[in-house]
Amino acid sequence: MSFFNFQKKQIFFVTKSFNEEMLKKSDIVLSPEFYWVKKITLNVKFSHEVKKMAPSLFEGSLPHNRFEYKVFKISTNNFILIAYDLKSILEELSSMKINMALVDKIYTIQSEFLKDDVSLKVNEDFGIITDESVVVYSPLRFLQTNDSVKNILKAKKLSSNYIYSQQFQKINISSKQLNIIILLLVLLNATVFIDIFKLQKDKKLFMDKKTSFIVSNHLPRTTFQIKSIQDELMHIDKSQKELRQSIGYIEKFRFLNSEFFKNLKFTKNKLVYDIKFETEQRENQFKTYLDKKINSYIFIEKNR
Amino acid sequence: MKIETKIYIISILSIVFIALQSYIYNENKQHKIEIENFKNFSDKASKLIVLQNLWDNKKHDKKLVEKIKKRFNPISYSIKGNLGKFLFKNLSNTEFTSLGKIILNSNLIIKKFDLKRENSKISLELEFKL
Repeated sequence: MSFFNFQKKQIFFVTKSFNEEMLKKSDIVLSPEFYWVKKITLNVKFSHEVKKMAPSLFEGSLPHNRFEYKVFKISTNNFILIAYDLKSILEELSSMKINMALVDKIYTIQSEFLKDDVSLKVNEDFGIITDESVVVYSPLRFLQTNDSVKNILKAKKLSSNYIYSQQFQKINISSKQLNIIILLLVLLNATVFIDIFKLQKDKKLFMDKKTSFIVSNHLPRTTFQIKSIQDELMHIDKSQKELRQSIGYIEKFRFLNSEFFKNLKFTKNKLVYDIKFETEQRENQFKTYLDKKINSYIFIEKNR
Repeated sequence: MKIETKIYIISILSIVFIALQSYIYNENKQHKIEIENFKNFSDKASKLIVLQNLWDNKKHDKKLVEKIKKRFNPISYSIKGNLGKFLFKNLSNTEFTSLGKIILNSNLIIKKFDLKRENSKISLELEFKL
């Protein structure tokens, strides 16, 4: 495929009497016999403005209205217009036994020598010469040159102003279909842009919500800080709840009227009690009760 | 417009579209991670808020301490930093029962609870953290 073909292509200057054999992929530069050229002076700034007027500027000089146009600005208000009928050109080249499968791009000699004045030999009878910015085909006797167009083109880097490209001709798709694809892609891109806008808005809302949640609850910013405070409070929660539960259990024991606390002391997670019991048996009952009820974080012992 | 110009435009638009989609995909992924992190954060934070309300509510604790002071008339009372001390003497059984209930139902962080009975009177030393 020519996208990756970096080998230099051959360039042929083709006149209506061209009879060389093309053996590999080549570019063609057409002599002025194949198209119409006009130099005009117009008080407009851009080539595309001139292109819109091209059909009327050529009116009366073209055989039909199926021409395509190229416009080149050569200086302020000065433009070169080329009118060509690509279909006819391709038919004519085929009829000249040129293998079109080997033709990569077709250029006009006009577009390749826009700013240089040329005077070049094409064959023993004809040559080309720039006359007021327009390259014209002329009998050789009017030219004073020995330079051949063939040699000049061999060393020349061609412009991007081709009128035909095999690559793009292979794409069998109409201009209307291409326009629809462009429109669809523009719409898709616009949708994605809207999505990005929405997403950014959502993200901002979410971040605001997060910040206000943190501020309103006086929370630290990181999960790590939260966890550290939470661990500390969990420890307090566990020890304080168990202390209260333990005292609750002790209180629920059915003491006799003559039984009472002498003291009850809680400090450093240790609950020490001294209770006056009626009998030793009663005291053992209490101990069994406690053993059943408390498996505890709070350590309970009798004061001796 | 030349067919090739249109094809270039289509190529560029397609590249832009793919790039934007990939940007959206990454942003969405990041956004989901942030939301997930926030859920995790808010779960932890909610638990913390509950615990803070239980054990770190100084305003509430101060009110309660004032209430105990007025009602049970301690022999001594002091507060240094966030550490408070009460000393009650000669509490009757009824007084002690009601004081005990208030303390044990409160969210004061009890550091020391030292009850002593002499004859029928009860003394109580209480240290707590605000």
